[in-house]
Amino acid sequence: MYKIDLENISFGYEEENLIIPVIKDVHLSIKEGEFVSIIGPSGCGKSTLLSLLAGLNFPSYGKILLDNKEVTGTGNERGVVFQHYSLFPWMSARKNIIFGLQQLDKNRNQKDIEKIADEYLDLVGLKEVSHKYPSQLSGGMQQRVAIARAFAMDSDILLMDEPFSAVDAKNRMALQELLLDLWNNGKKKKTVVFVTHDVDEAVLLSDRIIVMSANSKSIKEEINVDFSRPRNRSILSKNNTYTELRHMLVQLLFDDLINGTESEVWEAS
Amino acid sequence: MRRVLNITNILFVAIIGLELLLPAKRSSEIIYTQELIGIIIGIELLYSLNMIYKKDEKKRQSLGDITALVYGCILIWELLTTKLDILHNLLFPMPGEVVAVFLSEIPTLLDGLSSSLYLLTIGYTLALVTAIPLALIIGWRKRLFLAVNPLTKVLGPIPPIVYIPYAIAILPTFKSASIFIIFIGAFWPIFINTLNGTFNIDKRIIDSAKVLNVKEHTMLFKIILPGVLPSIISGTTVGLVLSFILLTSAEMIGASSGLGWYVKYFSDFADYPRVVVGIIFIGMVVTGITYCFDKIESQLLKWKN
Amino acid sequence: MKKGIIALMIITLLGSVMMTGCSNNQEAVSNEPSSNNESLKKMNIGYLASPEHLLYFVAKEKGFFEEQGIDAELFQFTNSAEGLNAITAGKLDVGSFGVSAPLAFIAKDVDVSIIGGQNSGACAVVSKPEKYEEMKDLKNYKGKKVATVRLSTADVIFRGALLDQGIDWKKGDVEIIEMESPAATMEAVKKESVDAGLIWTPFVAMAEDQGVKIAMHITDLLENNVCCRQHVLTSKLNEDPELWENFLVALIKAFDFYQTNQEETVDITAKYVKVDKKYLWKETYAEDATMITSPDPLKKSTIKYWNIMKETGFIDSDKNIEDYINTDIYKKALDRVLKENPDNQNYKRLLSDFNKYN
Repeated sequence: MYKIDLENISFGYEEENLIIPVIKDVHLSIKEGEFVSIIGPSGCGKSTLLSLLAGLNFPSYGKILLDNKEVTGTGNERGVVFQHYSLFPWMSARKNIIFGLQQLDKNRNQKDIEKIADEYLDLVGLKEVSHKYPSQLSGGMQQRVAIARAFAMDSDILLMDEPFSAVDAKNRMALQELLLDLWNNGKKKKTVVFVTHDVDEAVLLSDRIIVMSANSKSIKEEINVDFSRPRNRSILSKNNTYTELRHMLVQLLFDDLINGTESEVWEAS
Repeated sequence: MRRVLNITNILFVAIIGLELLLPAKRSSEIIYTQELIGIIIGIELLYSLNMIYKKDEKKRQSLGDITALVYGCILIWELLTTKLDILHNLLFPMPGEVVAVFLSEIPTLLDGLSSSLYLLTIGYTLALVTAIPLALIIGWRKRLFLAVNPLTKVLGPIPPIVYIPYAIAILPTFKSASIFIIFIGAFWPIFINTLNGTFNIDKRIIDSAKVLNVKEHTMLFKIILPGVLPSIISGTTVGLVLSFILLTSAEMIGASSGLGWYVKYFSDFADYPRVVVGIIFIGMVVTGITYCFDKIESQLLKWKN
Repeated sequence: MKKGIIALMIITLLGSVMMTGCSNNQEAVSNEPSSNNESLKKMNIGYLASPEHLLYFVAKEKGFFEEQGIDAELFQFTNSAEGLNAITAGKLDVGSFGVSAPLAFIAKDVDVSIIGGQNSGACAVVSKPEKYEEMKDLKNYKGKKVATVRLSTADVIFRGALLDQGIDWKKGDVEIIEMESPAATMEAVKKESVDAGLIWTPFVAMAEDQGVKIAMHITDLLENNVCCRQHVLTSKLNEDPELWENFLVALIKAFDFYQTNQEETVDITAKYVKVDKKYLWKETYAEDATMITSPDPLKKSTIKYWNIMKETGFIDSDKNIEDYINTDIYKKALDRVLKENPDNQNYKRLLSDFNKYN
């Protein structure tokens, strides 16, 4: 049984009585504990796919199943980290995590909640700045807090939409290590769906890479990434398989770009 | 010695000198020299005390600049009225006379202050507690927003003074009619700003909250309200200013006290020394109140960069 | 912090709602505590801050209202139309907001009755000394600019007088510039942006000190002129005519006091009209003062005023204004006062005035 099932998913938005397609006929099954990356050029619909998984939008056709149950909206079993505004600007880092935990279970003891928050802040190395507001933290620190919150809330599934794209290279590497660390060392391995446009990042992090196409608005290719974990960045970069894989992925993306985009439009039903 | 010889102190000496040495051209029974010198010395004392106790160089500089400006204005004012009699003598009373009248009017002014504050506090607070929640709810539901938004464009610009006859007819007392004028003046800017802020709130914040599965009332009051706070605050600031402007209109209804009433009353009687006193006093009150509001605002928005 | 602010707002709101509920009435200018005597009938009286309304001030301060079983509370208005609105809405029981306003409201089908008077006169046309010779004769007004406050008594009478002279201001023979207040009118005259201006008390007394001359008194324009009249909703009148008789008795007694106690009257007036007492005295008691304070209804002059308002186009009505003037209650009140004080010269004069002018 799969953790996540996308059956025949299509999604479009309505504009002046026509439906502009964003995703067409996506089939995808993800096992529990799997780390899946979705990559593709802009306009391929990867972010939209994630929002469908999160329950923020509903597919125009098709079903999304989690543990064989149809998705009807957002849910506690899915934690989400966005690229921007994961945190609420008017709450301190600590309060952001506390707030998230409070939404899970209003009756939970406040002291317990605070303890968990402090624990995870420490885990991501931000104990010292826990009282600061997001505007006082760097982009990298903000995302660390977002990750801390997601893990503190202990959801089965983790959805991440280009979480490290707005961060500089050095911090991005640190964040990738942090994510892998937390993912590997948790009690139960979370099922992660990770959207990115960075090929290296996808290869480093994932068990499987899904390549989407802006032309077909569907999945172009699925590639397994079999390197053993824990993965070492510098060792990997010298690995031939890695270099080939990387090259292939880049080629796939490039091909997609230079082939014209079908502008097909559906009639609004 | 250098520090003492700044422009502020030079102006101070200049005014004293001007006052004592230059003869008065304006024909008036009393020239009010004492009062003018008195107020200047008073300001200088305040200034000097602040200079001694304040350590921050920037604050000291701006304090010095402001005091210098004040001195400059008084200097020009005294020159144009008492000394050279260039300005119309009824409309432009002498600064010394204004000081004298101010001192004698303090009981009336304080009485007027408490009367006006009563109206302002109730009217403004009512506006706050109705406009903000209403706007949050309406801005949040798209269909409601689309229905209500055009109405605000029609009703918002109506000058509150127009409502006076209706307020008198419908509300139980004259005082409640006065409060209503303040209320309606403050209501619209707060409502419209909050409404637009809510409707236009960054969708990403909403999505962030949605994936945390917040309940509807949590969404409205813990997410949207703080998120819209900057818009709300621009609304409340405008609302506060309008409340003061409307004091005069509000206090025209059966009132015989109040700051707005004071200025209009004496303006109607062409008693311009009192008019100027009223204006200065209102300026002081408004400064004090907006100072408090700014403090509250920076506390509420301390999370912003 | 946020919770604290919300809590503060709610407490303020609750507190203020309670306070509004408790304080049901505006504080009157006078610091006399309102009597707790249950047999006193409450009456809300509207006034304008002018020495013209001194009968109200005297009646209140000297206890004449109270004597007549009336617990009077005085409310200041700055605008006659608003005062009439308050009367129409029942929030004021009586007022003397000029004469144009009540007549205009009657023309608009508001059933208001004129039951007495407050004053007449006290208006003037002023101009700069250089223009005085010209402006003191109405014939010279053709082609001139005059500042006025629309619908004020002076304004209506002036426009009527112009028409009588054959000067049609409607066609532009005179350019009439409408100002917001007598203060604004004075400034316009002083600046010479107009040739003359219409003002009323206390500006008439202040005129010379401000460098303008009185070109004409209102009595030069219309000898038997009226100004503020007592007006009440007819329904209220019919509900309790005795109350209104008592009301007029109080005013009649105030009239007597005003005639005999000049200094104290000025002191009392100064409480309500915060103008230099010397001006108040000048307007009220000086030999050349044109202000005549009297509770007499002046029916004939009021009817004439109504007709002037129709002539000048300010109102359009075919009502019979006499139906709205009630002199019976005043007569009853006067008779009662005379019965109690048969030898009082002032009351006797009021009686002869009544017979002459009504």
